[in-house]
Amino acid sequence: MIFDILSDAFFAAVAAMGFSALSSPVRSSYLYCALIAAAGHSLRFVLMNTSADMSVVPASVLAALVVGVLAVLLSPHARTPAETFLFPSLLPMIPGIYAYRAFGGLVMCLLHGSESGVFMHYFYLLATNGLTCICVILGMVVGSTAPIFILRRISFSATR
Amino acid sequence: MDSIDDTGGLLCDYAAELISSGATCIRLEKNVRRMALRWGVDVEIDVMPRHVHLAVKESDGPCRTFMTREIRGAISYSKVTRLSRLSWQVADDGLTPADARARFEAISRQPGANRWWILFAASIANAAFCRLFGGDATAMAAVFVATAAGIYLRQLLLPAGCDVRLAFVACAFVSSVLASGCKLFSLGMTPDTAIATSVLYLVPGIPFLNAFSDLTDGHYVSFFTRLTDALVLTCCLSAGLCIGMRLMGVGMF
Amino acid sequence: MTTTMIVWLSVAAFMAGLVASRLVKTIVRARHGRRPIIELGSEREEIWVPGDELISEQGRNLYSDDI
Repeated sequence: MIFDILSDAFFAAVAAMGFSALSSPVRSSYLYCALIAAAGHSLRFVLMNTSADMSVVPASVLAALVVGVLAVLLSPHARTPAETFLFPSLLPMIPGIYAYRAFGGLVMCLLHGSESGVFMHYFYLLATNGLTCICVILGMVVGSTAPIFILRRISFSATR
Repeated sequence: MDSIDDTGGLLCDYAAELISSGATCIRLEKNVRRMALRWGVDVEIDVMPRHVHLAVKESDGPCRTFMTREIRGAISYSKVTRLSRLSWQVADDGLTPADARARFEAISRQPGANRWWILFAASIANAAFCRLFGGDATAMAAVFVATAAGIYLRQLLLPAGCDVRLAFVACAFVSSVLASGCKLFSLGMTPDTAIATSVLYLVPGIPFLNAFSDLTDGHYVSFFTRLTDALVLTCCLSAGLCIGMRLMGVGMF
Repeated sequence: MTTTMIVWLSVAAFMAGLVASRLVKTIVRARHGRRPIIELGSEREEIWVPGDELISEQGRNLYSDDI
């Protein structure tokens, strides 16, 4: 179990660091990105896979909240805006697979519009995956940006 | 004494550069107001889809408006960071508009990150992503290659003036077809994860997050602009993925 | 099966060709206008001793006695 958590944290860190390169950040922020993403993603993993047994939506919201607070608190140390490492470290938590399955369901719905049984199956897949995906994204965004607005003084004077 | 033209022009250019580099609207407002306060002017900012509109007023003078076109391109957090620092330098160290203009020009000319580093880092990141979704080592390798090919193509197409939506369709197509090689040659145990993950590097995650941050702050026009841009790109990548999977005969499930 | 193989191979070949052509172009551009590291020099360059006429001075050295 410990190994699973550590490997989850490691790969989340690698993913966040790599994706942050796409938004050309200042060099020092790569490390913060990796640390915050590892903490957030492994927390979500623990919440979902241990006795807490949370569903993906509340677990993502809690993890995003932790990511947001960490990013805001660390931003004065790095002298960069909190978004620089907040947003890239959220990217590994974006529910890509749910979005992919929802999109697949949509395409199959369109292709099998005439057969009601098959259509209902794919419509069910579209609805469940799509709703989960939207709820996770909304929850994550609210959870992670709330600290920026609550801790305004820290987050907007980080580059001072 | 700097004229209001210099001050307003600089503030407007600064706002356009900041929004083009991917800053949220609340940061934009805070930074611009901070500088305006120091220079003794009142400002109001409208962030429109294609330009920034800024009204400047001196305490007893007339109101002037300025407009600067936004060139929405690559997100650059290093620019956002340096521009934010510039606003504090103005507020704390009392830079004049002329000095601030010189520093602003230097920041806006700064080149982006090295393209080979971006290609390598994003490919590794997408492979790690594949692992997070349960892919095995073969799937990770396939995703690495597919991502590298897609990003390479994007780095060729976009500077050559290709439409960004078309580029997204092409990149998603190439990446999904290459990742489908896993299934075609029966490599590894998780070919479906490889195909699903291969295009995720194209998902415009930061514009989505910026959009919702703007929504939280009540900047609804900017929210819709960013959300629509991101949704259009997502549709394009889905279209490319769909064509790729259809041609490769890969079922959705 | 055949169609999928053809699609995969053509996309893979296209990308490989693209990378290769760009690589060749970059190498050619980098080498253009630069002297190669190893080259065969002319006889005059190899057995030149100080005092001999330089290539750049050819025909301009009016005081040369070896006519």
